[in-house]
Amino acid sequence: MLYRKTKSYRVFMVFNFCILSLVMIAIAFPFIHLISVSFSESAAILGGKVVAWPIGFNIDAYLRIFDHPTILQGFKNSLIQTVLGTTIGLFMTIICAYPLSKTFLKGRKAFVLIVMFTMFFSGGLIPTYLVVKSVGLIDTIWAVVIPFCITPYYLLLMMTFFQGIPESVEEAAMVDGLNPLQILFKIVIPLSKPVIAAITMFLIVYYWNNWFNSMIYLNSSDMHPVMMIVRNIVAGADLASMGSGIGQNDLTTLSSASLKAAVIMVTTIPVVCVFPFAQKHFAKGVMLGAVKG
Amino acid sequence: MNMKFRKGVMTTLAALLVALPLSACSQSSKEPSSEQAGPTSLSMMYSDSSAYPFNKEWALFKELQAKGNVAIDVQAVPSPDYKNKLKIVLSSGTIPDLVTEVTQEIVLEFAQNGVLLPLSDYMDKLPNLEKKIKEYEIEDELDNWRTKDGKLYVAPVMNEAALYNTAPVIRVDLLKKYNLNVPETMDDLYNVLKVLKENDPSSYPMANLVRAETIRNLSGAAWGIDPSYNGFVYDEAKQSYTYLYTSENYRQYVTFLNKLVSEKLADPELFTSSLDSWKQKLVTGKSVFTYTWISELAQLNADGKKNVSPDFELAPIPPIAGPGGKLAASTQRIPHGIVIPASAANKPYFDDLLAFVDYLYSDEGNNIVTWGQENDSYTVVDGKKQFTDKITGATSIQRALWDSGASNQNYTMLYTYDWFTKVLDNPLVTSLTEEARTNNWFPAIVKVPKLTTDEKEEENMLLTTLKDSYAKAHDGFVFGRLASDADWDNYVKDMENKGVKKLIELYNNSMK
Amino acid sequence: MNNAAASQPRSTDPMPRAKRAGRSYWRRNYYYYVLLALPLLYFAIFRYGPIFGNILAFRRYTPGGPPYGTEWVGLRYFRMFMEDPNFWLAFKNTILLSVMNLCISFPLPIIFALLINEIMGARLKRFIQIISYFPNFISIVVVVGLIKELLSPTNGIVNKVLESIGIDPIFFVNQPEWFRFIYISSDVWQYMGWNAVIFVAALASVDTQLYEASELDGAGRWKQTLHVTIPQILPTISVVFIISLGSLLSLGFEKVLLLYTASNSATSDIIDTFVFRMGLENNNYSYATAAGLFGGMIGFALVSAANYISRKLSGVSLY
Repeated sequence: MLYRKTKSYRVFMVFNFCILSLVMIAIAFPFIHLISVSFSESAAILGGKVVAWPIGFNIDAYLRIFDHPTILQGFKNSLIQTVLGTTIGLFMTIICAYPLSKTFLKGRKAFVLIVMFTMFFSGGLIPTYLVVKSVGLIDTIWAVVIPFCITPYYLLLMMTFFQGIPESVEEAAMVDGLNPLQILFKIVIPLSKPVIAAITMFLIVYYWNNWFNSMIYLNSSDMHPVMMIVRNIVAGADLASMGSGIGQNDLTTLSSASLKAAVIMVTTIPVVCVFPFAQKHFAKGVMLGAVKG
Repeated sequence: MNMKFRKGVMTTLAALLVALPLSACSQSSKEPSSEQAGPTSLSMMYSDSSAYPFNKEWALFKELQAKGNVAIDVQAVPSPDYKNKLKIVLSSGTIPDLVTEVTQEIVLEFAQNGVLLPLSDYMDKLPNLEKKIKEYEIEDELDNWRTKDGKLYVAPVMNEAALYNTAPVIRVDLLKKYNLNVPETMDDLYNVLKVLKENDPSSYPMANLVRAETIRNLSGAAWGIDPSYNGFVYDEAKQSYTYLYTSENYRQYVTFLNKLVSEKLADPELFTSSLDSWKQKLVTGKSVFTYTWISELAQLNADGKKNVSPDFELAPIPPIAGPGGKLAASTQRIPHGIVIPASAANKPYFDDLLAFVDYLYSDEGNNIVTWGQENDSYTVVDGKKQFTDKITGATSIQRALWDSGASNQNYTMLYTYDWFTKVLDNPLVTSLTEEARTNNWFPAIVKVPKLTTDEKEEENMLLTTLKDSYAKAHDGFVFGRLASDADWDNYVKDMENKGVKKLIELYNNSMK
Repeated sequence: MNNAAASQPRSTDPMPRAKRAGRSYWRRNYYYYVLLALPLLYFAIFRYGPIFGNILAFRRYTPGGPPYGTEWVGLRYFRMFMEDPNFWLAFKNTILLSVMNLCISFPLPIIFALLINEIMGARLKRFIQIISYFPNFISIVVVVGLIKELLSPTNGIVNKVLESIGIDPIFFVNQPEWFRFIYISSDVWQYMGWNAVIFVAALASVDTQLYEASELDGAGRWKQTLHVTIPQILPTISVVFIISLGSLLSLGFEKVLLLYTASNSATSDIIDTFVFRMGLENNNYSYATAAGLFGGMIGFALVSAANYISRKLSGVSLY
């Protein structure tokens, strides 16, 4: 690590810290604003007084959220969907990406084209609904888990990473008498921890955030994930509810802005808490030497 | 080791393959069987409002089911996505027994292809509905919901009477302060806004909610450009449809708005303010005049008193007269309705289904979903119903009703005048509505052209292009990119070529 | 990476040997095909099953009628948008916005990942990363709400600052010339940290021995980055780039729709919003399907071209 002592490197590090700090402020500020809004009273928010600190501190927004009749069930459903979806998605992506990373495999090119084709041509919502219906998945949890378990983009990324593992490593294992399946699970997967961690993160976020598929394919309210409730709160308060009926006429100190902000906090924080576990695998580089030896 | 490993993988694969058909079985076993005695089980697609999220424990909802002898399986869909899901459900042939909150446009479009049940064929089984249609004298509006063959495919939600529930709203405390009269004409309005601006130069006296359409819908009747069917109205004298958005009245309307914007009397975000920022402008005193729903005022006034001054008072005023006369905003007495799939006619529980729909129109059924339970949420004094202290003492009547499952847009089919005014709980709405009735402030009903499926497709294409150009020109005139004198003729010609001519022809043909 | 040629069986061999080689090929490699069976089934059912819905582009669909249309109408729906000047305006807007967005939003996450990689403390590194993910979780509706609040000509912070230095308030969200700037900068704000994840993973996958070796050669950090880091993560960069290029026509529809106003439509009307108004809102699924097929063909052509060029230039390719 000799380079760390040079002068130009130190200049660079100062520069680097400045840039990253600026980025952090730009990103964190709106968030701090949202947190403040979630704890403020309606009059202060509407008065434009809330910037980066709550005014008229209260937790009404959070109380309202946890007052929702199905919110806890929603969290549970989201957890189940996310765990099932991520597990199946990761498994399917790996078993598909590994063979496709073998450039000598006959038919590989055709399969990659088959995969890529689906990135650009899909059938649209109604045909997809009809297929899911004909397989009998409507109103079951599988309807939101299975039809979307392989994302071609993640598959191609995984494939690229697998290709990056030097031939020699696998050849050595082959000589030791391991078959391709054993090589995949004993050598390739452990060596690909960073990409697996990254794609796990992508999948967790996809399944956690996805309210749309649940809205389309699940009818029973008992199965709805928490993000569907969030969707309703965030996008729901609009003119429609005023125009068609009696109006909100809801004399509370709770403003829709603080409710929206609170709901974002409540649903984002659980996911973000998972990330440090995945990120452990980004911290240290891979040591191929250890395997090769 | 090798074998064990391979076995593991194979078992996983097999398990996944088995999971598909298995889940299919578990689903089919969930289907309700109609054989068993007891309440008929009905599925209902339900638009879930975030203001009162669906709760199967609602007392009144339970009572409604018990009295109607049904068990309703509610499929709640978030209201912002309701239309999306509705289209998929209607297109894929998996329609629940009852679908609530269906709008006119969807009823007319889907009804013609045989997905929906023609309720008008079963009127003998819906005596209460038939009775109320007569009682409410609503046939004119209901006719717009019928398809070309004269059939009705929807169980309509009906308001007993038109209400003066939207109004021009102004800060009366400021009018008093500066000795101004309540504006009665558009010229008055301009002068009043001007004085208010002089007294607070940093303000934008007039604000508007969210879209350009809001101000057009709420003030357009006075300008003679609303109500209309996408800008088209049937002119009895000419025996032809005409397009209002190229009329002289419309030109005066955009000229007026442009004057307000260019003199900074109106908010530059006139057409883009979100609900929250619109509220913010009003309760901070940045804006002092707007058109809105009277029910919003209580909250605005409460917040305004905290932010501006204890005198803060936004109050509704009578319609401001324009070239179209002294007219209020048009009120739709039928906002939406419930549809039933055509396939329901073959179901064993079909009669029970219709009986339940009819029950919602009965006085007993309607009482449950509007007033609640007697002696609990309402009492009868001298033959008149009144909410109990339990309801009126709550933070708001509306919220108290919502929390018990009443006043729910999905299954309240009738809004009686008496009930509505008690819920709004604003003496001004009642007195202004009385005034509106005696002075004929409510505009006439617009005829919706009845089109065939082919005509509808053609109409949609033309109309979308037309609406795009209209919206662009509208913004142009109001914000001054287009001049309402120099560019006017070009605009009119452009609109005629973009589809006005063809659409008028199409609509006139549909009348034959 | 590009060792396909080397490991493929030679075709010049005499027949019997080729046959033998073929048999041993299957014996050696059938595991791979077993693994592919389940994904193949998945693609067949859930990805190719619905694709037949695309015949709607050539058939007339009536709302509530049969889901695969009622009659053949040939290229009627293609002609409808091809002959519409507004469609080509939307097409131009899409391409311009996409290309600009690609030029800015594509390199930034890579640079961000490289900068993070230089941070020594593992905790600090993780902290910065987690903060950088947050915006990704704010729903678009709220992001657009924040943008409008920030840029409001009546009470937005930005205009207050402008006013204090004597500049008249600018109505940013209603002016066509500002739309692209708003779209791209908010995209960078929202997704830069999250898009960097895959590059951080790529950086973590670099064999540490390579660094040690180059350090022995006396290479400075800059040289290491140039000669070790970049070449090692180049395959990832290439793949992400190829796919980004392929999805050139698909922008953040929801955000554009929410930022769209009649006044800024000269730049903000993109293919997706145009087709949404013409097709989906009108229940004209045939029109929407035809436009979707058109977009898909362009995307597929672009990705194939990008893949070809990438193979010629860097040896990295998807197939």
